Amino acid sequence: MRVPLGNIRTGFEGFRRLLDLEDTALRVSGDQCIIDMSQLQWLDANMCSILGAICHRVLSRGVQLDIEGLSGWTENTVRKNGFLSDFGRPTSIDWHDTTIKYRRFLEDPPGEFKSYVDSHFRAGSLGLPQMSEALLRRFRSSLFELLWNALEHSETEMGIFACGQYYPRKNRLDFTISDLGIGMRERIRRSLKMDLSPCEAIDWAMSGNTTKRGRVPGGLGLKLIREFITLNGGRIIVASDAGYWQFSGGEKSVQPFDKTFSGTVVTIEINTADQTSYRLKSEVDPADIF
Amino acid sequence: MGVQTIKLTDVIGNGFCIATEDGEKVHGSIVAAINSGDRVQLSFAGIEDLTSAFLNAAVGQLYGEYNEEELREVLLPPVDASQDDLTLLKRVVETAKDFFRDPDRFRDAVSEVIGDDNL
Repeated sequence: MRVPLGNIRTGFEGFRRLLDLEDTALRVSGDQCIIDMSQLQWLDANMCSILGAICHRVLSRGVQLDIEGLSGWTENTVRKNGFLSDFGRPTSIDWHDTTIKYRRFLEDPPGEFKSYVDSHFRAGSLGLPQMSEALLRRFRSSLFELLWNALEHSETEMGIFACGQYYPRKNRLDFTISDLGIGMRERIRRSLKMDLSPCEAIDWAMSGNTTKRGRVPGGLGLKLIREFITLNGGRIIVASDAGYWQFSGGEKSVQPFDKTFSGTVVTIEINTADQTSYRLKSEVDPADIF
Repeated sequence: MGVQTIKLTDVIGNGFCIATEDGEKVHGSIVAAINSGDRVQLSFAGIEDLTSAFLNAAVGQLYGEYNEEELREVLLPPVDASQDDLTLLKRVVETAKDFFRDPDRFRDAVSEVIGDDNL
């Protein structure tokens, strides 16, 4: 069976197309599925995170999966970021250093993820855009908060998938992290017995609430990222279950999908030209913490 | 009552303060110091990356084990911390106080999102 894939940009339509792809691929009656990319003229490279996650879920169901029809610029994109290596194909050199490699984290995610973040997002790293020290540190913290959110809440052993892309002419850096877990809505339903719609569930999680109970508090990580993105003038997108949630320019928008994604995908897009110092107007007094 | 300085990076062995498990190690050191009758001074020297997940485990959970007055007595002002680190620590502490004061606060938050009728 051949499943065509159209252009994939970071946004509702791109996610919807990938959910359609997964839905079709998971209903393959035979044992082989070809993702036909011959019509694909644009692929935001960071979206390889969710594409890779979907491919792994399909493969885990025993379906033989392959990709065909790639050519020119799009093929070069998925070779440079390492996505095609999942399909046994070689990578190519990223001469412009704008690629943040596609990676699946399975064993020792904290250690591996640290190496990954360090290799791409340390002052002086090849290809790192000109970012202020404060912005770089906030961005790194956001990546680690995202990782921990995925590790603590996804309840999956299928791994976590990450990929990013720097767009120098737009001063934008997009990073996407995906998991194949139970998703925010189901997590809230199981932990709190609350039945929210998919979009309500994402909004609830992004507002500083937590499903965590017991001795260790939580609920701050995603809220911190949202605050950071607001100051930075960037964008944050969360897709989970059948919900799409986006925050950009101080405005929130939500939209339901007609298909369900079992898992959670978070994309943060930062404005790399931002010179905000991220200092509060009044400094925190160490004697007034506890 | 003596003072024990606990340098976070010494407890976990590096400057990468992001993992809950590492936060638990720091929490263990803090609890041991408090239970031995000492006061605690946290040193943030050498920290490269810091997350709320780490601080929730290291410090936040103390507010479920001791009352706020006790903690104000035994936890001295942190040292060697940047303003970014202090800001994050204060947010974690405030969130922890709320969390343990009213564990069911999520109900209020949900009612704001979807309306009381749906609860």
